[in-house]
Amino acid sequence: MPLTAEELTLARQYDLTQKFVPFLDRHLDYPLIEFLGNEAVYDDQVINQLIYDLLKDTNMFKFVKDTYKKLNPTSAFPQELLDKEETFTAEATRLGGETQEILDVIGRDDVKAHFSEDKSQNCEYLAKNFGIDASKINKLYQYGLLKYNKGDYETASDLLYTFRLLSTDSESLIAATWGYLSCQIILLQWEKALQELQKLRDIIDSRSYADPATQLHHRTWIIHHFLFPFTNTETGLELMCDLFFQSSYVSTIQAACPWILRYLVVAVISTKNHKRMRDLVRIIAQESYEYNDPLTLLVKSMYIDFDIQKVEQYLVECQIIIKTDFFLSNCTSSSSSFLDNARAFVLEVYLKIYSVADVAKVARLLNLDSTAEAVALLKTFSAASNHVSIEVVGETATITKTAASVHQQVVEKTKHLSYKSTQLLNAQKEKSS
Amino acid sequence: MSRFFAAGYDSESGSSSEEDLLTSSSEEELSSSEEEQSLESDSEFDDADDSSEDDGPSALGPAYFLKKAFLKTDASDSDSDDEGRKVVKSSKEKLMDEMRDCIALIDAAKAAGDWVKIVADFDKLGRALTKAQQQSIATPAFYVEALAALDDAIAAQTDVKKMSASESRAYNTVRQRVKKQVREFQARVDAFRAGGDAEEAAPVVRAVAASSGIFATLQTIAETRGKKNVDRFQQIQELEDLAQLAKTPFEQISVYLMMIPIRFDVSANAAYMSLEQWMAAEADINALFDVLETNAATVALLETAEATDNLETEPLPNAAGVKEILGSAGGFVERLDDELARSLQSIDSHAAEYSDRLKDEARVYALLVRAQLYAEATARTSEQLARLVLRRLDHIYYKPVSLIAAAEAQAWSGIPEAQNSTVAPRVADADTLVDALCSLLYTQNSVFRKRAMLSHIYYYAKNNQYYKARDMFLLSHLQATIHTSEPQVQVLFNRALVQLGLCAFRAGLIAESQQVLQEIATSPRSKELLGQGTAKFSQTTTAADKQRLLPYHMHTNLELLEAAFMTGSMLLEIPQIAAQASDYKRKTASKSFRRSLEFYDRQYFTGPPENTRDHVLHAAKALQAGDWKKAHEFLCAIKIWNLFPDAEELKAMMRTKLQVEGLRTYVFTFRTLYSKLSIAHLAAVFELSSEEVCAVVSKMVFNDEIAATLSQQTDSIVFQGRELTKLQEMTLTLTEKIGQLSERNERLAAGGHQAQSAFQKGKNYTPAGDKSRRQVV
Repeated sequence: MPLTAEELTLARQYDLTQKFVPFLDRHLDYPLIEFLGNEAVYDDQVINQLIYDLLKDTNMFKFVKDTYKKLNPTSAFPQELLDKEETFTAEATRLGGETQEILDVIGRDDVKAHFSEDKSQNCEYLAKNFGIDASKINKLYQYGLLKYNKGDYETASDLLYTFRLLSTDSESLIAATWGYLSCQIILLQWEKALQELQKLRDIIDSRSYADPATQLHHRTWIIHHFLFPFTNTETGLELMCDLFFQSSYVSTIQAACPWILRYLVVAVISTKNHKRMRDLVRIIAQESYEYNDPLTLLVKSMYIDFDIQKVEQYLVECQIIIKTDFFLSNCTSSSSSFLDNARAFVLEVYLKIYSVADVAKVARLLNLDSTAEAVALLKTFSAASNHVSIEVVGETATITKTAASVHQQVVEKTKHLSYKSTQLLNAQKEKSS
Repeated sequence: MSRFFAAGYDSESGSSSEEDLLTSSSEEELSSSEEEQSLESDSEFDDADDSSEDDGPSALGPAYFLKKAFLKTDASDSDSDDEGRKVVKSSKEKLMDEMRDCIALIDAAKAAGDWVKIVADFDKLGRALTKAQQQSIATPAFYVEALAALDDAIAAQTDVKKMSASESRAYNTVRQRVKKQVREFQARVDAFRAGGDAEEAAPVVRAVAASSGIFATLQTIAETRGKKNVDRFQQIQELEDLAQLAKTPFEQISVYLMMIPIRFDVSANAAYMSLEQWMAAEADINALFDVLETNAATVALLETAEATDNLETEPLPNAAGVKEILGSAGGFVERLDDELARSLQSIDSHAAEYSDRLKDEARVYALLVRAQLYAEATARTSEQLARLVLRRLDHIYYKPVSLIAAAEAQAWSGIPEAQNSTVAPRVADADTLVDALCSLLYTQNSVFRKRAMLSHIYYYAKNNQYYKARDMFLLSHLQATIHTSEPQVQVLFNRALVQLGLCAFRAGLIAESQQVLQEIATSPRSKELLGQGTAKFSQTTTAADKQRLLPYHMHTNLELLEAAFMTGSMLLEIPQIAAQASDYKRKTASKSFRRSLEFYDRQYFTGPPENTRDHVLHAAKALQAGDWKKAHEFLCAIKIWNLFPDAEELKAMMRTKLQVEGLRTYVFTFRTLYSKLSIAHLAAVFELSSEEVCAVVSKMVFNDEIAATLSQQTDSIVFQGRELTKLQEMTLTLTEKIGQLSERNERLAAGGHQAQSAFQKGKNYTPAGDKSRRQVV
């Protein structure tokens, strides 16, 4: 279903692709731009130009040429492109030959049998018996990079995997891990991608950087890459909450990439995480001066401004955003449940404030088609809640809240104290022993 | 801070008069022995710095009182003096003599092989040399000669083993020191050994004979510098004439380098420089820049240039064909700026004279820009440029954008079109300019960085960019270390903080503003903290403290500060007081405001409001009674708001705030008396839309501030009418506190240190303010 003019304006206004481009590799940017094309957010011409500019420095010559033809059906290919292809082919053949030797050696069963856990020992063994030294192993990396740039992600992924098994140089290992990660993401291997990201994250968190800005920059990259697996796996959104609400990541998001808040809103609402919602409200309140989109505004209007009228509008806008956002539209677990959960959140706030409500207004507020749906929703809410009962008579719903007595409140607040104290004591004992 | 100020004039003149007494009493012994005299001058040099008192008085002797002591012609005077006993020597000659004596002694000791004596004499020689270098006298050839000879003697010493313990220790000491010195003058020692001539490796060019007259006069004037009873005005007159006569760039520069400092000297003991001299100095500095800029291809005035033997020696061109002269044009501009600040400090800030004088700031600013351009082109160290840039920043950071633009336009109008700055482009807009100046300073050491950072924050806060200023403030982490800085930086910190608070207030961020302003607004010493006054009744206020004070035009208006702080406190406190009856969670936001309000309540008769505080308190009472319009009238009657450039917007902002807070207060106050309140009615009373009323009340309901709900059917607030008894309230407070306690415990156990530091961070405003106060006192 094509977008209406209004929806298009909205989608363009809140399009984050531009913000993402600096934090992702070219090859990972491509799906984002392609998605914009598929959703017809921009014209084909614009998209093709973008794709061409994006990929003309890679080695995917066939693809680049095709795109060029689409852009300039009449003119010939630029000379530099052809030159580049030529040098590339020569280079590829050379490196391919060289690496094949190594791969052959490593593939042999007797060699495999000699491999042990200790990397340096493996290196020594290879160098002594087959003359495969560090520089040759590095060829694997170079060839992997070349293949990756060619768009042959599977081969690249294998090469980099082998390289990581053999190399001992920590810097190029990290580089290879980034490359391997990109391959996994493009190949839609989410489990592997998550593992790799976890590794990179540990490295970045545990390393001490002379310049805090570098660490911040690395974390920003990590955050953007994490969005791929998070929005594509079953438990991804929960994992996203766990990771992004860690204090170091919260401050990274606030300092460098507040637009990530959009995904946090979706994650929190979709997972019905009330505790996180409080944190989220705090963060959004702090950041509202520099970043707003319908999703953060929804939270803001619900919990900060209590501007119930606006909620209705934002709920509609959120749906468009979710549809036209690369990550959110992919997100199997969010797109359907987000709206329902968002409604539940709104209803909860609403019912806390109102004791007598107009069903028609509730229906409109929640962006429901009929009052019957609203009544059903109210009934489910009433059934699920312990201290709220809702009676619907005609067009009005009466909400009765049984507030906890003071006695109960005190019990509620103090019952965990002794448990906590014991826990604390145990922890201390463990520490001191 | 200029080093001129740091030195303190009073103490210097005091010590020199003591010297006079001392020298005249021991006068008899002194005149006989040359060596002792050199010792005496030695001690004198230790006391005073480079512009020290010369040994004139001791040489003059009893004749000191007889003569009209203008020393210009003293050389011929002493010639005609029939006793011929008092030979007047320049300080340079005396130093040279001293060094020659030392060398003679060393030679004698060397012959005797007395190394212990050599150590002592070589030490003395070394001191004399350092002094000579301090006075920009080039190392003499005979020193190098002696050094080489001594080095040879050390090498020739063979029977080290036979020496006594003290002898050999002395020998080793000398050997090491000589080695070090030789290394320092390696080139010249080598040249001496090769050719037997220790004249500077590069031969010097003598100034042409025609100009020798100029340099002779300069020389005599140079010798009187720092002396008393010298008619400086006459000297200036002569120098002005010389400036006309001077032909070559070198001559012109030399004359200006002599004349400008004397102009400053004239008023060294006065409260501030006379306007006439200041103007003349300004003209001279401009003239100096004219000379420097037209001859940029052949001469350069550098702080890092080599000193020459004497005044008339023109330095040789370097590889690029530029003659490097020792001196600092930027330093003169800095001094000129200091003098302007000094006069502004002393002039009554309400007199017309003050604003007249303030107009001269534009001249200094123009000169600073000029000096900065010159430094960009020539300076070898970035520190020199940074000093000028910081000065320039000091002149603009506290101004609104429009004034900065005016100053910029004026400054650049005097500079040729072709010239441009690499630091900040010609006539940049204010944001770009301040950003550029600051980013240059951020590359410098921490003192520059701190001041640049604070000025930067001040600038943005002043110009209504709250979030930018706040983020910079938080990122700078200055609050943790500011108490270790020097007083001026602490004052700047406090000033930036206050601006930030006022900026938040203008933006309607009342809670933020209140939190930021609290520390300084409630301090009884706010004047001191902002560098606008010294402590009353304090015995320890020194002249230096007074010199640190900011001139009036840079002051933060304290009444405005009070008005903003009080209004903010009122907006926060009044609803809270109304809510207090059952609200057991909250603490008071501003104790001082509450105290004033209680005091006001205790009074039997209250007259109409007079000052700012009265107005705010009257407004608070009106707000408590639900009369937000009257409260608004009281607040608008405060005249000081007009100091804000957008006073009308501010009043509109206060109006909205009063409507909302008035509504809250009203609901809080009457929640026990009503069972229902119509939203339409509230909307009418507070002139808000019913949606706005709904939003405000919803927030109160959601946050459990009131026990009520909204009804869509009747469009009203329905109060639940369940108020807590005192016992229940206290029980809840207690459980709340226990909860907090256990939470804190947990946090401490989890990451003890982190929790601790996070806790301290929240409190950091206090120590900063306190410490600065302590230091300023």
